[in-house]
Amino acid sequence: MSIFAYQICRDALVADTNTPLPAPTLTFSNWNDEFVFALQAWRADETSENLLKNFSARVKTRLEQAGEEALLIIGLRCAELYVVEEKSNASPQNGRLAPPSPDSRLTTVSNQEAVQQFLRSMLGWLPQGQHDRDHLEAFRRAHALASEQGLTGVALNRLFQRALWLFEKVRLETDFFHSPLAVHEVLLEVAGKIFGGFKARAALIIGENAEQLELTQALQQAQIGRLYFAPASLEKLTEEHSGETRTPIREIAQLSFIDLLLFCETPEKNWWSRASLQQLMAARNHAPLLLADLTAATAAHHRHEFEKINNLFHFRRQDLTRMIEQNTRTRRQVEAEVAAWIQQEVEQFYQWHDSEDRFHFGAMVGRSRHMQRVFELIARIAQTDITVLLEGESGTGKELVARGIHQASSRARRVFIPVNCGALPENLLESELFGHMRGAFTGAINHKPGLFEEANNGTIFLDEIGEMSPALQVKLLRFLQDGEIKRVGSNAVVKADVRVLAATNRHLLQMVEEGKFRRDLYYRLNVINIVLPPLRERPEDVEILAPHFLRKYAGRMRKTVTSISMAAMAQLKKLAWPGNVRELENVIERAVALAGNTTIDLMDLPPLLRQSPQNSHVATRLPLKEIERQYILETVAACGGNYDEAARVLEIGRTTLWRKLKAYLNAKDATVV
Amino acid sequence: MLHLIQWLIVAAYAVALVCYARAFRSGRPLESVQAGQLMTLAAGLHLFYLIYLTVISGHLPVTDVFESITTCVWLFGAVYLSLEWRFKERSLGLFILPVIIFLQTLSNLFLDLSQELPAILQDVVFEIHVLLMLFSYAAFAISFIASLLYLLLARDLERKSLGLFYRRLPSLAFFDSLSNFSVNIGLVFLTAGVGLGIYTGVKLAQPFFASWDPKFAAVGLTWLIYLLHFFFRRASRWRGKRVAVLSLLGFGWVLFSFLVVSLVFSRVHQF
Repeated sequence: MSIFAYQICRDALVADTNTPLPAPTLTFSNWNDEFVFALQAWRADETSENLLKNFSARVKTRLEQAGEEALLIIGLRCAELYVVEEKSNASPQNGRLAPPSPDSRLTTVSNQEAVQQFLRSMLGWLPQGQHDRDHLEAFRRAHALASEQGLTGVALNRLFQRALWLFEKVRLETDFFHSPLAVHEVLLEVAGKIFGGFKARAALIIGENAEQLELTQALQQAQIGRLYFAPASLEKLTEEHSGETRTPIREIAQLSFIDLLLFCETPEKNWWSRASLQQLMAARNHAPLLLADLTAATAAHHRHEFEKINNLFHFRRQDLTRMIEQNTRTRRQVEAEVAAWIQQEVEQFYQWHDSEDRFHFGAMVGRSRHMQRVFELIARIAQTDITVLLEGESGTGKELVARGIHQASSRARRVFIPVNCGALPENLLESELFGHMRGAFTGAINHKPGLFEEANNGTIFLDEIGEMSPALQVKLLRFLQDGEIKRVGSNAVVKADVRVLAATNRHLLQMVEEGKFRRDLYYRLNVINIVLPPLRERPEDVEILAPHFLRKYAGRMRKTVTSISMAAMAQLKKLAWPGNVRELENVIERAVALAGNTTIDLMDLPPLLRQSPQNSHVATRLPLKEIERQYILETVAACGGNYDEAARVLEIGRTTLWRKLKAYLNAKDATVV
Repeated sequence: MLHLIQWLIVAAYAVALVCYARAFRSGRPLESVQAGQLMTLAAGLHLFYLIYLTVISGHLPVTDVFESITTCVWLFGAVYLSLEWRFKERSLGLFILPVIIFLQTLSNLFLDLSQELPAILQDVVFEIHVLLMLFSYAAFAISFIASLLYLLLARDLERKSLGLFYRRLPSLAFFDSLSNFSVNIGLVFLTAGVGLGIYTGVKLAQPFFASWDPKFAAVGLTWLIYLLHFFFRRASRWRGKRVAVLSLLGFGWVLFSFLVVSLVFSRVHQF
């Protein structure tokens, strides 16, 4: 796998409109072209939303065919494109070896550096070292869209989750986001330190200069109560929203309703003497006033004149720049710390990437894009108690997935009970699932708890749910809704805490249409739907499954078979596999048994056998902490990793949420959701 | 047992102080939350101590100077914790805990339970009187800390330097309103407390109220200082830093009158 990142900053693009971007070849043979194409639209001021949609429409099929991933981010200042390719021939080294960039304004990096850039960008830490919070927002929006469209896969999603985690860590454990580096930011911070909130405050910006626009935006973002503008002559004051004007201003006392006086130009009137400012303060009843002079050259005398006026805070441009210098110094240290964290994340990402883990989930193996998505989905939902419906042909490993979900969940140490609903007649199934009382029917000579009760605190896996009779469907629905069951022949209600996973090899929705399956139950089961594709649709998985089974059976039979011949593998990949993975497994088992030397040859491949599952352990009740943990993780997952949102939903502070999550996921490699 | 609990409380407050200091230095919200939890723990232990005192002496621990100090300190801590909880602003802990530790140590050193208790001091109305007074002092103490921080932050702002106070403290407006709020509360309780005090005095008549007591003058001055604070902060040149200084002076006088006037001059009024 190789990762590329393309990046360009808007300043570079806009400042240099004369140099055209290299025309894409329009065949879109490489990602560079895609990116340049998007950039042209960007320069033409197309909205980022449209741009992203067009992009996803264009590349979707291509990505799916090649098993690649792509994420395009269009921020206010910076555009980026991340691409993950499954090709293993790309150089694993760092640097600019990746597709050559036709334009020096466009930077291209690959692999480790690309991962690094991904993480940095998520923190809004742009290449020139400036910091842009909006970029993070753009990033989140782009990712939401891309993952919805299926453009991103395991690698980018994992990176995204890690980056969210890193953001939270940086936000809560360092001053990274609290050291303003621009004049308007510092000024706003100072104003915050004086006034606390801005809602009840009025600001006046006099004149115009380079920072005026940014300052205005910053004040609006801070939700200032009223914002006035005035020309240097102070002829009239105009309020921004209401359009209210005040004319003319004859004496300084008329400005007494202003709390922030911001000069972008030196005003013409000669009001700014000590005496007149004292007059102003008196008119304000000595309420605090921030007087900021952002003109390039402040007369030196200003400083001493204003210094001793009570509650007047006077900041000159040089004061603010000095504060920025101080900030820059402290920020370097923080940046070094954050950079180290990023490096750590990069290494962890590659560790995960290099390990076989990437293709394994529990007892499942798969490298096809589809199976990777399934693994990812399982990882995300396992920790919750969401009901899952598995769809797939016989032998695609539905029970393995269910077991995998159980193993990855917090119920892993409790029982996992698989039940095949098609294997038993209706009445028997009912008393199996729900239990019965003594004498409920002929032969019921004792009380018997049902499997739901047995599975308390654990997981129950209902295979072939489509075979269930309508009467039982109602009972099951009742359990799913209230968590209550009634034994056959009993009126007493028993509560059970069981996670339900269901599977079917029939098209359930169609059965619903035909009236053979209850619609309400279908929707209750189908909270999360995992479709397991048949093996013939993912021949690339044969390549990894066959050696996996080979190792398994060679070990079991103590044979020294170690490889599969090219011809045999080619044949295996060609087959239609009606029995899917199970069939493949049996074929390999048989081949291992028959193999004469260390290699399985074409000769060793004939018909099939069968296999059966096994059973498990003990149950106790969940502690409160565990329930809290599950619920929090579930909420975070439901909010798509948006911690802000999750904290709001849970009605706890973000800090509290962070503390808890941190405690849960102490393990080094833990992914957030 | 008593001594063990006494010093355990001081130790617990000290541990919380260390945590607040570390959180203040690093600015990590997580650490300050932990510090707050430790302080709550210490305050809980303190409450247990107060109950224990009440049980072994048979009356509320408000009958002499050092008993009152420990009650007052607890009230102070509880008021602070509720403010911390309300405003989610945890930077004040670092400044409040030294005061708490100092006063609690003082109380530990000089607490003497063996004293004979005059009958009048066992009156319920009297106990309420003392509690009201103590609560108002606790409020003034909060105002003291808020004003102190106001001055520190204002100093950083005037120097235009990004000192630690500038970075960690919320805003002048916050401290201003916190200080004003606590002075308001303090004034109400002080007034009610003095009223009850006079009532008790009149009711008991002899020999309590007959002789003039420097304590009356001391409380009167306290009341005057905070009344000035109440009026000055609205619309005058005094607004801002000078009012903050007034609050510092006010609390300084409260401490002085509480300790020195009570111990040195007063014979009649026990404290």
